[in-house]
Amino acid sequence: MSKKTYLFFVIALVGAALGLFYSGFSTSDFVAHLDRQLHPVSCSLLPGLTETTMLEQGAEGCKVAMFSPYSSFWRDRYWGGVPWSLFALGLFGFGLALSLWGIASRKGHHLAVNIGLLLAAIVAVAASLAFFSISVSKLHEFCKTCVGTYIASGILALGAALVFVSSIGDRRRAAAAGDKPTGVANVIAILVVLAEMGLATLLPVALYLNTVPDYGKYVAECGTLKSKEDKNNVLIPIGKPATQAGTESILVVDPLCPACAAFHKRIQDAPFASKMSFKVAILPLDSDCNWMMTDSMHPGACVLAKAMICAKDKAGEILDWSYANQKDFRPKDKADNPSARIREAVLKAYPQVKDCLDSPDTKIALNKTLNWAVDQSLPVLTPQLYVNGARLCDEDTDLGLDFAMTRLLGTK
Amino acid sequence: MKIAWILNAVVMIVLLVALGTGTRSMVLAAAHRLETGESLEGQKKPAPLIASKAEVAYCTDELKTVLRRVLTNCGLIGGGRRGCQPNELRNVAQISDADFNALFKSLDKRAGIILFDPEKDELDPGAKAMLEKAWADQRGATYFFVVARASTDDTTEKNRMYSHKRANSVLFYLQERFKDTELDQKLGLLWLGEEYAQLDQQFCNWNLSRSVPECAQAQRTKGEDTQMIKELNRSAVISWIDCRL
Repeated sequence: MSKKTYLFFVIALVGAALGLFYSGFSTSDFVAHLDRQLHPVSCSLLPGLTETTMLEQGAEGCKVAMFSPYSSFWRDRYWGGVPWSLFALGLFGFGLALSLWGIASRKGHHLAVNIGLLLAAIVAVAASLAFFSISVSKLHEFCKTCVGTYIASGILALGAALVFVSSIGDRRRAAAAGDKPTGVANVIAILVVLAEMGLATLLPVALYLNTVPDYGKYVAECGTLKSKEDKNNVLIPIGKPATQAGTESILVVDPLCPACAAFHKRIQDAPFASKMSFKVAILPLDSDCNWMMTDSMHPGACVLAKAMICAKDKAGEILDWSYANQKDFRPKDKADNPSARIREAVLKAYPQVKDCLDSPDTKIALNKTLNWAVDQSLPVLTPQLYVNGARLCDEDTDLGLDFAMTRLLGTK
Repeated sequence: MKIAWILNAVVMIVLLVALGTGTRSMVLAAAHRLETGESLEGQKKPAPLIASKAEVAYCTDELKTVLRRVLTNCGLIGGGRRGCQPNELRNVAQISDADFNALFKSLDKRAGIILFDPEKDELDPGAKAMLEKAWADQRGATYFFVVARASTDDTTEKNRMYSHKRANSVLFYLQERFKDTELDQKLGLLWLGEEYAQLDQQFCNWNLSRSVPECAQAQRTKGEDTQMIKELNRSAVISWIDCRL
């Protein structure tokens, strides 16, 4: 094996080691969340060397990627699904081991090693391209740790390609010196290397599936509504008409809660949404109308709640409009109360609610909604989802959503 | 060549063992935290606040005791006949006039006083507006109290009748205006006539359904005006009570 091939193996080895490093962090972050808690996420080109915090803005891209449906598969079968990064972990591990072996054994120029390394690199690059395009077209966010993996794939591919090209000359020289494996030996060697690649890639997944706990018992332990009755008609139907009935689902939301906007969208976009019919219970976390709040978490939410009540069948439209304008409706500083600004915006966008907005009847209707929450002993937090009376656990609203919903909807 | 493949096997076994133990230990650690509720960051998740009726600072034990007695004996708790008459109320509340009023003084920001003309029980527009606003502002309260009174201008019997009619005017208006099917479970009526817990000058500072010139006059002169006291007591005090009873 020539010195040039050695050097190219070192490049491939660096790429594989980097890939193992980044995919290891991605996997570790994902697996840490299997405890159904929230944790900081490593989101850096130097993960492990920088401190991670829950509120770090720079980690947003990695959180978006991890919580997106593209980070794992079989989410309806396993809580959180099976992370794709597990395959990456095995693939880069294989690349690293093969490069090490190629260098140590001086047999790196053999066809089997070349093919194994090249195939691992091609798969890594193809997967990187696929995930990169998802980041651009679907997530509109970039996860730095993922970018690290893409770079590592590129380096591995570069090294593997150079090794492949350089090894052709090495093999010719070795053959001239009498070191030429037979065709059968070559085929067996290729099959062995490919089997090693398959084993290295699949073993982490197999062990993961074998070790992952049973979440079925946790999904149903977050309580139920005390009564499914809505005697004061406080629940507002949204979405498809009642004639296309599905499993009755109640979303408890605050029009100004960012988590509600994100959760509501995720639920509506999910494949299981077609099996559900939605009603909204408004729970404004604003002390202006909600006596349960000592301080307003979302000042101005009461105005929007009343506007929804006034809008009747257009309540869903106002809710979507509120979600879309949340940034403008936030307090500008600690002293700012945006209620007046929100009222003005509501009246401009929906002038038909003007006479109703401040009427005693609207105030009473909103109060009845809040008292529905009292009668049901709901937690004072948003968002919440009740499917056929059973509460979706807060811990299952991200990674475990598909798994939990499959069970709550009774489709599993 | 053999040595090369032995080396290959060693490298691959090391890799597989490392990948296997790494993956397994990560998942098992998460599974342990899931089972025990331990947190990686060592923080316990605070229990969420549960939606409940209001319970504000003025809900002292004394106030709650009196209210419970009144609610039980005047028909709101346990059903039965609605309303309490003045001669009953003294026995029911089991406290003096002054103490009865003192308990309710903490409601000054929440309550309103609907004023009536002499020998009348009709609600004027200001009274109706105040009543609608007050009724709509239930928040987390369970009971709405209407405590009607009369001035001392007439006979005791007549004053009882006026205060009874004033309490009913409030009840009937709420029934007609809001058509609330649960009104009976929310509204407590008391009519005190002239005999029990007459309002004093301090109530001039409460929300009044119309202005009482004598109140302003009395504040300027810092004296007590008989006419003002009579005006204040031709009334019905209305308030939601933000206490869990």
